[in-house]
Amino acid sequence: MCAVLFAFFSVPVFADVILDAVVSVSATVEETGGGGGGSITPYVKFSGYAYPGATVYIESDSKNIGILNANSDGLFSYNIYNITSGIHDFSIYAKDIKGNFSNSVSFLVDVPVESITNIFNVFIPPTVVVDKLQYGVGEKIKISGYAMPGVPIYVEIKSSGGVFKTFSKKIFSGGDGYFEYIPTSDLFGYGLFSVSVKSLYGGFSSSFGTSFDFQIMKKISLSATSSRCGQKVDLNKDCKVNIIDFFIEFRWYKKTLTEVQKKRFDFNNDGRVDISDFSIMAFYWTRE
Amino acid sequence: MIKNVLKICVGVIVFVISSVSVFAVNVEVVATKNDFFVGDKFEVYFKVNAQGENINAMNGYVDFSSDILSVEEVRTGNSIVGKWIRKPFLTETQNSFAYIIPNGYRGVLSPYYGGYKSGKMFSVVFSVKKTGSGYVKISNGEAYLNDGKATKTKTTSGVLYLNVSAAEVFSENFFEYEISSGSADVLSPDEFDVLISKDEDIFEGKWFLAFDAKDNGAGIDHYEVYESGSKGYSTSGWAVTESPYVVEDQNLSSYVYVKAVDENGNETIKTFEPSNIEVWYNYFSFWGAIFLGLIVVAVIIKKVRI
Repeated sequence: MCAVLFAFFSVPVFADVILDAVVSVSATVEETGGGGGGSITPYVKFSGYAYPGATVYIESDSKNIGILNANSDGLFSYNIYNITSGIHDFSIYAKDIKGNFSNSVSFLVDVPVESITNIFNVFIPPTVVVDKLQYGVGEKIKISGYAMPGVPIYVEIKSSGGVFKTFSKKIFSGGDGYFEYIPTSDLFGYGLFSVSVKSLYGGFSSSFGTSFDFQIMKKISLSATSSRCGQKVDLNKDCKVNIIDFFIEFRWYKKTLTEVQKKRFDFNNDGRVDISDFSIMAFYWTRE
Repeated sequence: MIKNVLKICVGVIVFVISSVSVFAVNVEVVATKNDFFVGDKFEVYFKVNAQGENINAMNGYVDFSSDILSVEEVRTGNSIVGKWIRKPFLTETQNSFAYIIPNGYRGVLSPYYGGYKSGKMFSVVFSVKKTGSGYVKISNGEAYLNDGKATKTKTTSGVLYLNVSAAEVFSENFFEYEISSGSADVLSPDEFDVLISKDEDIFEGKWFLAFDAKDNGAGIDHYEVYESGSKGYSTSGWAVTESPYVVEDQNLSSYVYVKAVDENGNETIKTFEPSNIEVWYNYFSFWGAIFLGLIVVAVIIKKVRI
């Protein structure tokens, strides 16, 4: 009975024992003092795993500092010069060959002075898209995306609102990194769902990638549009969440709001604009 | 018997659930010295150890013995903070702070150690006013998870205790070496973007510029702006400003230069180019002068013929 109760409170999704990939950092620092000896040209080297032919974007403190292509095995490596020493907030994300973007892998690194800094084991989560936003009874739901070639892909579909349910499926990507999973809507019942995926490579797991929402309905609404825009935190509706939205929101930080202003600026519906609203904005922060 | 089994099971389950949430974000309070004397200046670092959590926002208060200590300087350079909502001690009595880290924070990576370690939020340089016992800590610290729901997570703070003795008299320069040297910073602030927008709920719908520079040295001290109808700027005529900045030329036909200045006077300048350049043929005065010129020429020709 204890085991049953314990299992009820646990949420085991997959049986494999896998470790989350952690970005690793090493550096060669120039030796100081002494005569002669060549000095090194400092740079930062980024390397990791994306998908075959992916375009990989590297940002430092929300500014793009490098764009490169992953090779046919999905691996990427890139040297960037002129990065100052100190703490940098790096973000790396990818666009697959169909133009879909991944979640970013973000991490802070204290870059040493006059060094060759090696940032490796950057595991970019897979991309995922769903072919429609709404499905009727018995319809096939096409879930697809890109990952490293020939690796296990873990698909997780969660219901949102109402009774919490999670559905899991393990599939494999093809030699070109493409994967797809096509369940029928009957498996899930009615309601709102979100799908996200992660993959394995070299004994490590990526984080879950960007989730994609869809709805299973008894009757299909014709007004649904497929758009990644429309986040409430995107205050100026330019499909980006950046410092413009930040400063618009900041205008109302701890100010008295009208009911109309609450609808616009109070993201968590607690009647005020405070740091919790900025936390929600920070989650949806997008790149330039 | 069954009741006893159930009680044990519930106890185990409660233990498991509570132990899952044992991680708390901890603020480390670290001073640059251990002995304190009247007249000293020393720097206190406030560092965040996420301890396995992924957070993206934090706020709190810098709490300290104000009868013994006074704030000399706040340093925000080389910090984990992405965007400041409120920097501490913008005024003498405003000791609250709030900030976000877009896309989350788990700690700082480095080639010198494995895994994540704590990172600096900011540091404060204090001066010691009188003898006695005191403390420095963060009060009412709240950290929020990077989950899109602003979930608050447990936050704790270390406390720096200090006992102040009467001033030492044997050293002339002992005030200076304890504080990390910001004067060695010769690096300009990082390159930054200047974005333009307008919104009915801010500045009455006027065009404004938004910018936010980062500095891995002493930290950003202030911004200056220079607007000009022609390209280029002079050394004078700059105005201290802050982001967001309401553009004076609402026709957006002027160049706007934004300068980020760090605590040591290093500068980085970004240009916002006009998006509505007024071309010469739109000037009424130009066509008016042409018209008058033609009339004068016609009159002269007529007189010459006569």
